Amino acid sequence: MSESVRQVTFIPGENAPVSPHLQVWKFTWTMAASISQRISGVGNAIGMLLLTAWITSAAISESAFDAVSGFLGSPIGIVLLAGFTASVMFHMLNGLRYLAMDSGKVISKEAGNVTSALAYIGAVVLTAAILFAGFSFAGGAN
Amino acid sequence: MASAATKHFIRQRFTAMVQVPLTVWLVISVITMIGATRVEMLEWVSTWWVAALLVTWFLSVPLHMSIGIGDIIDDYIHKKGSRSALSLLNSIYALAIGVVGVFAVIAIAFIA
Repeated sequence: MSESVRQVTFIPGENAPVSPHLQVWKFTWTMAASISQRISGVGNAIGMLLLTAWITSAAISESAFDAVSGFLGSPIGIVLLAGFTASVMFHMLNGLRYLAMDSGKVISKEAGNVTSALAYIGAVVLTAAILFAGFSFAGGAN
Repeated sequence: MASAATKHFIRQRFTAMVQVPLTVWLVISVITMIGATRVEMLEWVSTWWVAALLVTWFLSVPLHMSIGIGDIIDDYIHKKGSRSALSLLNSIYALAIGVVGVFAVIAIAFIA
């Protein structure tokens, strides 16, 4: 009885289980997706600066809004937005995989590899569609 | 301390599920707002349900990203000093995004 409810405190860097080393793994789609999930997560957090700046600048003043909109519409801004879009799309699709896995679905090795690859393909397709829609809309609005 | 991991696990999944529909909505909305003037932007943000969804976004995302980046820091930064310093920066960044985002939306909704 008592043995099964014993609590263990994990201290990172001491006795906590560590993440896989990034350079000694055989390539599998699931491992690539796992690492990409973390990288895109950090990318999304940085990308939030763009979204927050856009909305906040509208609250501040006309000139602030023009400055931020101008930057986002510049070549650098468009590249950053495209990267942010791709990062969010991958993180969302792969995140759906993890939510499915938490409910006990797609947890086999085969299903994992197929759905991981699909997350990459889906992210590319959705990003292309969003960029296409964005450019058509920007072109049509003028 | 032992329940912190479970709390993080549940919060990370809960915010993820909240953010999936919000992301789809936000991406479509932002596409339609390309090239919008500041007046159109203020009008959009101050629509009551848009403001509500944006506030939800700016509450959910910082929580999700602080937990996620916190996990990465715990996994890969082994030196105690750097780990605490980065964890603090991580919390400050998430809090800043959340506070600024929520404040901007509310300011536009009630003032504009």
